[in-house]
Amino acid sequence: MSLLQVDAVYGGYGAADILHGADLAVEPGQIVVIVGPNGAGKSTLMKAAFGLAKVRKGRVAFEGREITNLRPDQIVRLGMSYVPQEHNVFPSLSVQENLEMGAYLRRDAGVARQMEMVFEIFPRLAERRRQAAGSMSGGERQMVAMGRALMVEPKLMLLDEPTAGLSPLFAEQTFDRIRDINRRGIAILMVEQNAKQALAIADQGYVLAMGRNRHGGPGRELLADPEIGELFLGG
Amino acid sequence: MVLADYLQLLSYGIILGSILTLGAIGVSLIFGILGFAHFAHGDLMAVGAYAALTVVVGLNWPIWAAFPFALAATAVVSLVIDQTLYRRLRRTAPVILLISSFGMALILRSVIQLVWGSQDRVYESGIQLPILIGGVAIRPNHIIIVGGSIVLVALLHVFLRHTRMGKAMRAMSDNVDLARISGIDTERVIIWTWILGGALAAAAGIFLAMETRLHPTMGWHMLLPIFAAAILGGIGRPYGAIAGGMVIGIAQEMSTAFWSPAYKPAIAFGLMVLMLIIRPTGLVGARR
Ligand SMILES: Nc1ncnc2c1ncn2[C@@H]1O[C@H](COP(=O)(O)OP(=O)(O)OP(=O)(O)O)[C@@H](O)[C@H]1O
Ligand SMILES: [Mg+2]
Repeated sequence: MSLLQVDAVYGGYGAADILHGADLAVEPGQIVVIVGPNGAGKSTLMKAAFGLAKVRKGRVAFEGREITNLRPDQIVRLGMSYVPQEHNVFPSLSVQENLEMGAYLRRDAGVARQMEMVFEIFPRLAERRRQAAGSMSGGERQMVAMGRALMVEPKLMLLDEPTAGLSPLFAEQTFDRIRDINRRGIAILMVEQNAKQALAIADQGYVLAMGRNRHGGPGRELLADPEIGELFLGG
Repeated sequence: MVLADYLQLLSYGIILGSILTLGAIGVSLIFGILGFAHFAHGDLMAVGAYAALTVVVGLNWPIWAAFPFALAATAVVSLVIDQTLYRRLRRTAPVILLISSFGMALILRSVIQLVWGSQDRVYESGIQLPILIGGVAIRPNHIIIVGGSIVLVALLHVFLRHTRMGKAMRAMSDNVDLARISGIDTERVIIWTWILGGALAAAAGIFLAMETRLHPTMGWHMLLPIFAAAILGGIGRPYGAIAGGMVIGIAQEMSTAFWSPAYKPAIAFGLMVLMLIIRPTGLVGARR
């Protein structure tokens, strides 16, 4: 049974559909990458899976349980968290408070342990735990955003362009952190513009164009496919 | 005028500033969480003042004993207004909420007038003898007002910084969508916002009535300086509202040394417009 299964989803934000029959599957522990041109509906597909965009037709399931059009707070409870492309931290809250908000649903003793794990993955956040997230650099904010999403101990984490706007060095480090998170057993579904780097660490990749998948396959196969390289990855 | 006269005006400014601060914090919280300018906030202050009067007259209790009841009652009134009226309009444009709050302001004022009539009232008659400190006359009520405001602001600070709900409130004020994604129950945050905003408005109304007197329009007349204070502090930032309230209160009272007191509202309005032109993000600085 797939962890996340998206079947022939149509939908978007209002009258006109953005998604026209998108399919996707994430198996436990996998890294899955969605690439595609601007405006293809990559972010919309993630939002549809997370209850932030309307699914008009089709089905979304998490661990075999249907979650189509559930509210985000209901979906978080099941073990899936989401890091939006932009505005993904609480700027006036400190780093630690951002993490606490990620664990808002939990009242168990595991919260402190989970925060230690986040600090283990991102030691920089431990040093800066009292600093306001809004005063940090883009790369550090991305760490806070991922840290917040880790606090619910998710089985699957959705990341929308985690390296957007970062320098090549920071982007490289971010990919390393994502692999680190994945090694702890957390499956990753991410949208990436840095398609080559992302597909290189992906177990499975999808190319999305005009609201539907054009290709799917193991990351390295997609990278090696000359047609895809030409069409979507900039040669 | 001599120095003592200016200090006297300064003391009046601090008293007015305390009252404005309590009102402006509510306006700022509500704007941060719900995204609309709550025009009924002044009249909510009047509701608090009259709720206290009801207990003082009805049960013959002293005002300090009526204080907590009035705060609770006003919090409940705010919640009922939100759940029956504003809640239904939340998915519409903020301007519709603003206009409906304007209508609610009229309703509250009319109800007060219907129940209590439109003559002036006081909690207790008689004159309080002032104490002279360095040539500045201070009445016991002044100490209660300023001291009470400091205690309430300190309690609010502890709530916002150190409780789970307080932090969620600041988070939602920063970014509603991210709050939802994190699993924060935004409806509960809204309920707490009204409880706090309503209770602080009631305290402001009672303090205002202690300093002047009760009248159905007492809150309505405070709306402009309260909004000026909230905007000066950067609307949506409760901490800024404290600075904004003090600046507006002191500026309004000090201005009477130079101009007729009739210009007091113009001072508030002028400062508000000036702020919107030179620094729309408020005194406390932009973080967003
Ligand atoms: N909140 C929204 N309301 C209405 N339309 C939207 C909304 N967000 C995005 N769209 C539209 O949906 C389409 C797909 O947008 P989406 O953000 O999913 O693309 P994307 O593949 O993530 O692109 P990018 O690479 O630029 O992030 C675009 O035409 C966009 O204008
Ligand atoms: Mg996008």
